[in-house]
Amino acid sequence: MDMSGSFEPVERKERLDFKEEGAQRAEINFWQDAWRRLKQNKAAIISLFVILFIFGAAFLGPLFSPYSYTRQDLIFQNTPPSAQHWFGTDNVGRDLLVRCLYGTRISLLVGIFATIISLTIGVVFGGFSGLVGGKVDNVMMRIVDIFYAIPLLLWVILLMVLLKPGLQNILLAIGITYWLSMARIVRAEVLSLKEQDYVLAAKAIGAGRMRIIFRHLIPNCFGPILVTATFNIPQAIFTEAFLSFIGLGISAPMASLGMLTSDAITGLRSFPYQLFFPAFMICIIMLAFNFLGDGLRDALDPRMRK
Amino acid sequence: MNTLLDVKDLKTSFYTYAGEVKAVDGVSFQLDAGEALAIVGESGCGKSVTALSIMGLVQDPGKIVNGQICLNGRDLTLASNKELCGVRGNEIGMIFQDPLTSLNPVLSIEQQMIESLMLHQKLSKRQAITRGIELLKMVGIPAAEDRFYQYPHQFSGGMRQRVMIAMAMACGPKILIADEPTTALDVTIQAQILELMKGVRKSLNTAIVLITHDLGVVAGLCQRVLVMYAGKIVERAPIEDLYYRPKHPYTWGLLGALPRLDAEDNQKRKLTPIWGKPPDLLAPPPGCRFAPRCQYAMKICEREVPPDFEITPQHQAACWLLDPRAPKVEHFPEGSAAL
Amino acid sequence: MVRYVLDRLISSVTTLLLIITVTFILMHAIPGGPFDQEKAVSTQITHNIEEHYHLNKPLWWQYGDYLKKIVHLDLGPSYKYPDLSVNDLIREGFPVSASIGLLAVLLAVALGIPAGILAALRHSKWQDNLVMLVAIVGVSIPSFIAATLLQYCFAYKWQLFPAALWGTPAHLVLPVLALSALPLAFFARLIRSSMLEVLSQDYIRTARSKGLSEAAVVLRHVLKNTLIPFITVLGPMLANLLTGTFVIERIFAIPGLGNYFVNSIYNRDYFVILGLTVFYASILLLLNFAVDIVYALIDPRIKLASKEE
Repeated sequence: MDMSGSFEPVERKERLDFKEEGAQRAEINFWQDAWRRLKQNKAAIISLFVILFIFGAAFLGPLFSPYSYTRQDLIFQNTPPSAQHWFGTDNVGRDLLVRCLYGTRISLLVGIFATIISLTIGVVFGGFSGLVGGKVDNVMMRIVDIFYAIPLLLWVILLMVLLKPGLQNILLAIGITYWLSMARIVRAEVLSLKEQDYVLAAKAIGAGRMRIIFRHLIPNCFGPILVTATFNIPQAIFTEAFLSFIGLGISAPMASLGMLTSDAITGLRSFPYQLFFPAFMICIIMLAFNFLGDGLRDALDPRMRK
Repeated sequence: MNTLLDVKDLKTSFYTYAGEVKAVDGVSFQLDAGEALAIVGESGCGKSVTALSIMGLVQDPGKIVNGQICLNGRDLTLASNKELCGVRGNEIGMIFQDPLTSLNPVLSIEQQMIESLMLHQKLSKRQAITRGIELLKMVGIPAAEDRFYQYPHQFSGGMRQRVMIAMAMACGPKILIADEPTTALDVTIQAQILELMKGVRKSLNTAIVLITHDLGVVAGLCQRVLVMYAGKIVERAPIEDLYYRPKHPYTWGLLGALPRLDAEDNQKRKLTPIWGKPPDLLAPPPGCRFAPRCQYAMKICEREVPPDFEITPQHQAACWLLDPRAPKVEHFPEGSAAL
Repeated sequence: MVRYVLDRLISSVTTLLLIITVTFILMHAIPGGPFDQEKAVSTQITHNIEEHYHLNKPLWWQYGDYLKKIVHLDLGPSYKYPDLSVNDLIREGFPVSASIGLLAVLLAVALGIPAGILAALRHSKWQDNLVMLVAIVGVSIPSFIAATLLQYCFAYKWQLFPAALWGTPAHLVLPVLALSALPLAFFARLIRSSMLEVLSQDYIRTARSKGLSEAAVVLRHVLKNTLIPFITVLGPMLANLLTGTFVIERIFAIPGLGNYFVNSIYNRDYFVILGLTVFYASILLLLNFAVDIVYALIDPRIKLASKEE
């Protein structure tokens, strides 16, 4: 190597290039970063596909079945799983596969819509409480504490005693009960965000209240809201199954996974397959959403960031 | 003076998902008994990792991959975990940057203070308590007898750092490693803590390794300074040489970024920041690691790692500008009172 | 400390009062009375019944009367079983439910906490992955499914334990297992994440820098801090356990309070629903109160902190 030539000064331009290259590398968007981390979590990604598959099966599957969830066929009572009836039939000869798919459909509907209701109430309530602060915040959080003092499931049961059984009422009862944790999380998030320097900075340059809410607070709350909602879905699905199981849920002849499980108990000794399939479905759905929620939390939790 | 601590070619790396991060890459230095040495550099340059390596406290996914750390001739990198426990807190004490989080919030000062005394000095609980209160008095905590039984949240930041010093000094270690001990404190408290460390050093003849990013903190306490950049020592010098005759452009930058009250030409002088960012240690520049940010960089700087050039036996710097073939750069760092 | 205790006490009592009010309103908002489903009875009988239960009085009077009774620890009668009061039901059912619940908590604590600690200390190693896998499965299997599956496997298929009913210790095994699955998994996850958080704290590095052995660091500095969040969730967890007993007792035909509660829902026996809800709320508030006190004893920062939530 020609050493003497190497003692020439470096031209400035080359150095500038170097600097910018270094700067770009650090600028990874928060959501890209989260997505990259989520992709590394195999369980979460598999769960995502399982959920998509279950959705497809529950909403499209019954179209391809020769049976309907109500058609009774008394010749084929309690037949074990076979080529004709993959999941077997129940005590009045209804095809269990179709009934399970319909039950899954109800579970998913409840999971999604109850979560949307609770999410809306929770975000509005918690956001308002956190934004206004002071006495109003105190009173609003006191209300949340009071409802929290006894199990949410108990409130849902009380509401279901009050309302008549049925899908809409289940959605309503779960929706207007399960917003409490969402409200708490959104409030805590808003409170801490309010104190962040960039919000102060936005205020200092004269940004309006609405702009601060929509531009700074809501986008930054989105991560925790998404994670909480993902955990609320299995919670709601479980609650529906529980209600149907104790006889407060969907009314016959509609099927819900909880009801199918409950129905299977009387014949458990002789026809255990009637329990296994709906039970398995519930567990798979719950598991998939929990894994996904875990993955999302790990991917979105800023404290895990390096 | 006899050499107390001898660090030779220390390399500590962190194995992350993205690859090996060489946080400390070939650091060597010696520390004499009773000496006060400063390690100076930006955050992330490896100075804290150097300290933790000496303590044997590098946590997963970090690992010491090479080098020796000899304390009185005994290589700590070969020591078992049990032997290291006998060194930590006994022969080497350490205090940390943030006194607010460095004390366990649910244990009283008493509980946190007596554990090392009982462990290393085999004191009874009663003796340890007596000694603990003495130590609190030594670090200047008023009403030490009462405060000894209180919890960390009842102390102010400066007081907590005093408690930390008392804890680190509990067993009369030969070395006190102070990792940014004043960074989290108010300026007036900073001065008090430095005064305290100076006093401790004088009265107990403890060697001090002061780790800081603030050259201003170094002056009153230390005799020698190591300047670290991106995992390597770029300049080592006695304090006067470093302030008045710095040789490495990075040191010039550090001094240029330092406000001073004593400079006569204060009006004319501007604070000059070092532009750019430290390099990515996953893929450091092949040559001198400071080259991308260096105003005086030459072609060789980008290709070849500079060796240590000796200016005086005490003063070395790793910079190609010191090579006889290099063009003479006349630099009187704006920060130093140029002679 | 005294102020803190008083504070918690007052807040618990107001909460209880509000819960009573809300449930009372809910129960009386239901259209129709509890006797509507009975076969047609003469107006005279209806009148007599209403007279007997004061149902013809104005609502605020009934409310006041109910509060008065609660102060005297009388939770009212049962419409369905006129010879039993809610107090009788509690006296019979609560010891049964409490024993299952207590055993389930003990099992969950005894297994869940060590599992969580193991997972945290072996973070990202196979022990951690295994514990987390088992825990997430445990959280995802609803209690009624766990119970029916256990019943099928251990009682019908292998006939190791009795399938249902109450009496011998063997009758306890399956219900307690089914009930403890969720809290066990929950505790393991919680302890793990809490401990990982504590392990990354600066004061743990300080403790290590003193030369304490790893075991001493964990025992003296990590565990106490790890258990603080655990104590705060104990209250809600016990609440969860309680609703768990509803189905567990039903599936295993155990004469516990949960079974009575579900029956009272079937029968629309409002006084029992109301009474048991109030009872559950009081128990939970009492437990939460106890948890708050323990919390204050463990965490020295609480004593000086203001009363903010």
